[in-house]
Amino acid sequence: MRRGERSDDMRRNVAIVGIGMTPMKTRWRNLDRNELANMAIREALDDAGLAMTDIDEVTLSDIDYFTGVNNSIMWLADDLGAYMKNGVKYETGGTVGGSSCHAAIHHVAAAASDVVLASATMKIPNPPADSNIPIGAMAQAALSSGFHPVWERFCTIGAAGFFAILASAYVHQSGCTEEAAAACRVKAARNAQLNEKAHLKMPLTTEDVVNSPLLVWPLRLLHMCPTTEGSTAVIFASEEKAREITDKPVWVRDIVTIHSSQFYTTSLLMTGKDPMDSPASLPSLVKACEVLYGRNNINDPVEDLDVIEMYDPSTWAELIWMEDMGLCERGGAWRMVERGETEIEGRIPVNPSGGVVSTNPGTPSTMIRYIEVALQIRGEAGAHQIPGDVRRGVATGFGGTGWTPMVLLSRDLD
Amino acid sequence: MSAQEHEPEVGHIRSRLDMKMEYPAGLYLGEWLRRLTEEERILALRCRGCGRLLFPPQCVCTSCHTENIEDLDWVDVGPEGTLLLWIAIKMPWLDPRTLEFKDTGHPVGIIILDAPDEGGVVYMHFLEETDIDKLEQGMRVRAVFKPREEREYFPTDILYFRTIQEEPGLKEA
Repeated sequence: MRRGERSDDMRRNVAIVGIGMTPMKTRWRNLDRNELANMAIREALDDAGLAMTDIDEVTLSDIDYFTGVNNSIMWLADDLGAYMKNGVKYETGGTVGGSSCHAAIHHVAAAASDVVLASATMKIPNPPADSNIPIGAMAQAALSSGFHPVWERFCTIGAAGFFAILASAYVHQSGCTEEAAAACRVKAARNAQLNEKAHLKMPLTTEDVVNSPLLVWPLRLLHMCPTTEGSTAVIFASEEKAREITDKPVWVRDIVTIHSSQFYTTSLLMTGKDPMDSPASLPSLVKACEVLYGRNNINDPVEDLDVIEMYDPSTWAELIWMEDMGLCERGGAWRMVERGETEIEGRIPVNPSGGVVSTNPGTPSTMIRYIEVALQIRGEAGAHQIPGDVRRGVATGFGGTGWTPMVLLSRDLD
Repeated sequence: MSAQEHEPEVGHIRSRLDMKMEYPAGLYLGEWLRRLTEEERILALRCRGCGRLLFPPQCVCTSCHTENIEDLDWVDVGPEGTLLLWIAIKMPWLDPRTLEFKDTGHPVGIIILDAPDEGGVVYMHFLEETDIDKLEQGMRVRAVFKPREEREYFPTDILYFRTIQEEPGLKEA
């Protein structure tokens, strides 16, 4: 068998059979993490018609630095139902909600387990009222701690700085104006208003976006994702079990995770021989698409896919990453958005949920992308359901690692 | 405000996680810092396996995984370079080194440091020019070092990069 062929990874077919997701909001003020995790897990079990005794294994996602708790697999063991079961915790930054799903999928595909629950929860310890550190600055400092302590940390500004660099590059290369980028944020706000679980649901105009405060020039407040609390859970099962459990399995056709290099500046900008001439890009996403499209005969993602849920921590990233995903030529994404092609009714809907820029609980954020594609395929996305047939879609993840996890989901096995 | 006014409400427990810590820079970055601070040189390491410049210098090459241990091929890059991109910090910024708010007023530049035989190496550091309207892609910049007595073996021993005027005709030559 050719190396890298899908069936190397996927010896047994795997399906999503249960989905749980709490509403996403700024603060679940009086709930602790376990109580929040339990809400999503109960919903996933109910959705699948299963009890915890039916679950063979639990995979947990977490970002310790954000939650202020180490060894979270121990903290959460009871509510996860992991007691006396196989269970592993994954910690890969913002990609982790995808990583724990990939682990679950691998274990089912390899017949190590038949039914696996993946869980992801974000409950932020808040700065107390007499702290002089606002939550946003705290989040940026926590994110900056992911940068190399000698090489990059002294002049990075967490995620906002990272996305400002991408935005700055994109402005220079594509001719995209502030107003054109704002249109992409307005689209996200419109979609989020249709999604009852989304966090930021305020209506936005282009003027609102271009007049919002600058965080790191050229990046404005409304181009950046919020900090959100909430929890998600997904249950994966083998084909045999899935057919017993549900009449609406969503099939996992392929997964891929591509790692980035250690240093942000080099990993972002050394894509070409001449760094002065390298496009704004997330190289790990380009590679992930090359691998996943190649293995699954996706020649034109706009034609061959029905939905994309992309991890878009910033509007600017959504535009650049649309190009990385091959939805259009370099520099063309903002025009594609302008033409309405990525709207819910468009040629290729991108983030009908409102995306990460509307809702970012971090730990669950990648898992939410996977869930949203699954809901679209089931036809259960509610007011943000894409009209017509949704047969297959891809979801991506992103995080402080610069990695790209990616999944291809489908309604049918063939 | 007195502490009493901000007693946490019942069910919200206070905790601190402050920890002081030291990271070893490692053999390669340690040497890089020593040469930076003592000799005002910015060095890259040429990979013995693939010839690519490793910047920052590190033992194992990102691309070809060659282990560079013996006969290290240090190469001077910079101290001049070309400005590719810049960002300007407009939000409260907590320096993760000190957990103190920081306002340098200086934009952060993505600078392509001059390097032999390559398009250059990518470096991120502060720019002296605080008016972003005066910044242009392709501008030439040069590292400005701190006075010797203030140096601390850290990348900030370079204060910032200063815009320099190219001599007419030099760029084409």
